[in-house]
Amino acid sequence: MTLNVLICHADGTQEIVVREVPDDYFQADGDDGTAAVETAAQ
Amino acid sequence: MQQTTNLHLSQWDASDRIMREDFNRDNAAVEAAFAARPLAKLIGVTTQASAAQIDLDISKLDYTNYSTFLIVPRITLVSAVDAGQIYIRLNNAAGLYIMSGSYPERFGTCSPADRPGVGFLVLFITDQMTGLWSRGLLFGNSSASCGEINTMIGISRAQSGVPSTLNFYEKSGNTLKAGSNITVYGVRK
Repeated sequence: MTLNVLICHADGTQEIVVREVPDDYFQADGDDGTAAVETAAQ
Repeated sequence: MQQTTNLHLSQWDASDRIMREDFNRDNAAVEAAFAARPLAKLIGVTTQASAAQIDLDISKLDYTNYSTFLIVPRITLVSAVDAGQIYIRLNNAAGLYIMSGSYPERFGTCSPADRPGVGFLVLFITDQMTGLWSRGLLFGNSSASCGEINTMIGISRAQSGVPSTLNFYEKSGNTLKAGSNITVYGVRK
């Protein structure tokens, strides 16, 4: 899949590039993000 | 002649003489105070466009004059996301996360848009390691619930190589909003 990436360069300029990444790019950490989340009483 | 409290800069009264020596002393005091400040703001980025990921160039950090760099991001999402979480990678490389294993990089965030989560995150970068300490609240989108995250982690320079970019993204690929801010401070040696 493709990903819009905003690159913030060291000289202060910014540009959007389209980058090809694996389909599991956002799951590559092997964690759905819930392990460290403790839901407080509502 | 009166003086200010901290730097003892001249505060002339109407009857005081205007002396060149007073200006020189004041300017020297300002210069010395500026040089002695422990923190310097090195990078201040406000994003000009929304994107799925923000890559911040940190390849030119000055490890000669600064012992540690503190990176303070304030990132929000374009749309409300229940328990959205910002992840951070180092050098955009799998396996080189600021956090790893079952606790990937993230800090509290972002939902709903009009009630953003409260996140505090500081990345520490030195010439030996990159580390992170975060604490944040995750606010639910459809209820009054909130979660809490609190994480500390570090990776060595041997693992990561020289830090070149920090990569910020939301765990499910939700778009990061234009106007998000990332600030890098340097701690003087």
